[in-house]
Amino acid sequence: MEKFLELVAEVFEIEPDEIAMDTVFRDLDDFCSMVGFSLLVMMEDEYGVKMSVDEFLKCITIQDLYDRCVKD
Amino acid sequence: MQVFSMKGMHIDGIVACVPEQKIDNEIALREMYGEEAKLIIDSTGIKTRYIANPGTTSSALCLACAEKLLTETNTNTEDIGAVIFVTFTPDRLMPFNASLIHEKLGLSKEIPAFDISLACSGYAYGMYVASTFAKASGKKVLLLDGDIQSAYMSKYDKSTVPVMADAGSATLLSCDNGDNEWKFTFYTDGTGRDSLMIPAAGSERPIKTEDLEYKVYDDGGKRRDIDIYMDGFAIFKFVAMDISKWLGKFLSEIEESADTIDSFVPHQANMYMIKKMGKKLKFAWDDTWQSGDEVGNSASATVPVTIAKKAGEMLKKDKNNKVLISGFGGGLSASAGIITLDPNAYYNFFQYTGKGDK
Repeated sequence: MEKFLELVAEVFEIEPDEIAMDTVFRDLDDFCSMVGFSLLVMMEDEYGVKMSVDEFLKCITIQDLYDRCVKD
Repeated sequence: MQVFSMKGMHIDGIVACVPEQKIDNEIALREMYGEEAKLIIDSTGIKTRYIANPGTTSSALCLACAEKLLTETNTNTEDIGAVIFVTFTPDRLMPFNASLIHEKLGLSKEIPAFDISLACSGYAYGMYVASTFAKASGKKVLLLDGDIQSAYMSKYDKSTVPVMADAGSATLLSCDNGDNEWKFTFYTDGTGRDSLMIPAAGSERPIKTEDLEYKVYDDGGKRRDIDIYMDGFAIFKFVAMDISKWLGKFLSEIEESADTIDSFVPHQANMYMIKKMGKKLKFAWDDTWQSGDEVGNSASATVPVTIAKKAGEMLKKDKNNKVLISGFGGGLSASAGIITLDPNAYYNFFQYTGKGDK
C-alpha cells in the first residue's frame, strides 16, 4: 500500500505524505487527462493490470485504483 | 536491436515553416469543451497551433522552405543528387510530392526522387535514407518533411483537434567525410495500426457518400470516416511504455546517455508526453527541445520545425552538437537517431503566407 502511494505520488510529482488512500485523486491540483493516462500506464507497468479508460472513470479514490491492482 | 550507422555526414541547413492560420487553442477548444478547454490546454501544454488555408499543400510549405534553404546556403540546383519527401498527406495521391519539388526547383532529370509515407516517425527515417543516398553519390540530398493534417481532421474531434497542426520543412544533407558517426534505429508494431488511422478513402474502403457524413461518438465528438481517428490512450501507452523503454535501450546499446549527448529533440506529441519521456531518459527539461507549445503537433515535421525554430538558443556554439532525435506515432512506428548539428549551419523558421515567401 505504501509502495502504491509512492507510485501515485511519483505520477503527480508530489511527496507521498501529501496523499492518502482515501484521497480523491481528481481533486489533486495537477490532475488532468494526461495524468490519468499516466496512472493507467503505471498500474499496467507495475501490477500488470490493464484497465480501460471507462473503468478508470468509475474510480474515485486512490483506494479504488489500488483495489483493482490487488484484486486482479 | 539493429543499429544503422553512417559516418561523415553534415547538415548544411534546416528551414521550417508554419502555415497561414494561427489558432488560439483555448478559443478553438471552448466550442467543443466549454469550460474544460483550459484544463485540456494545461494538460497538453499546446497553447497555439497553425493550420493551413484550404488548398495550401504540404509541397507548397516545403517548397517555400527549400527555396530559402538553397538560396541562403548558396547551393546550386545541379549539386542536388536526390530529393526525398516524407509525408502522409501528399498534394495528390498520385504522383508523389517529390516530383513536384523536382519540377519547381528545376532539378537535374538524372536524380532519384521519391516520397516516404510515414506519420510522426518519419523524420529520422528520412534522415537515414537521405544520408545513404548522399554517401553513395557524394552529392547533396534535399529532404522535405511536411504534412497538412488539417485536410484530414474533423473540427469536432476530441482527440485530434487539441493537438494537431500543419507544417513544412526542408533539410539539406551533404557528405563531408568527417569523423562524425550518426546512428539510427527503428521500431514497428503493426498490431497497433488501428489506433491512429484514416478508415475510409484508401483502396481497402473506396470512398462512398456516407463516408462524408459526420458520426457522433461516445465522447461527444464527431468525425467522418475520411478523417483521422486517434485512440489517444493507446498512443499515450505506446509512447510512455514501449517507446520510452526502447529509447533507453537504444542509448545503452550504443553506449550513450543524457550525459554524453548534448540535447534531445523529441517529436512534439504534446508537452506532457515529451516532458515525461525526457525525464525517463534523464535529459534535463532545459536540454529537451520544445516548440509544440507554440506551434502544435504537425506529425513528423515537428522534429525539423523544432530544430529550425530553436537552434539559435539550444545549440552550443563552439562545437558540433550531438543530438538525439526521435519520432513516434501512427503505424505504430518509431524512429530514433543520434545526429550532429553544426551551430554554423543555416537554420530558419518562418510563417508561410503563400505570397512568394523568401
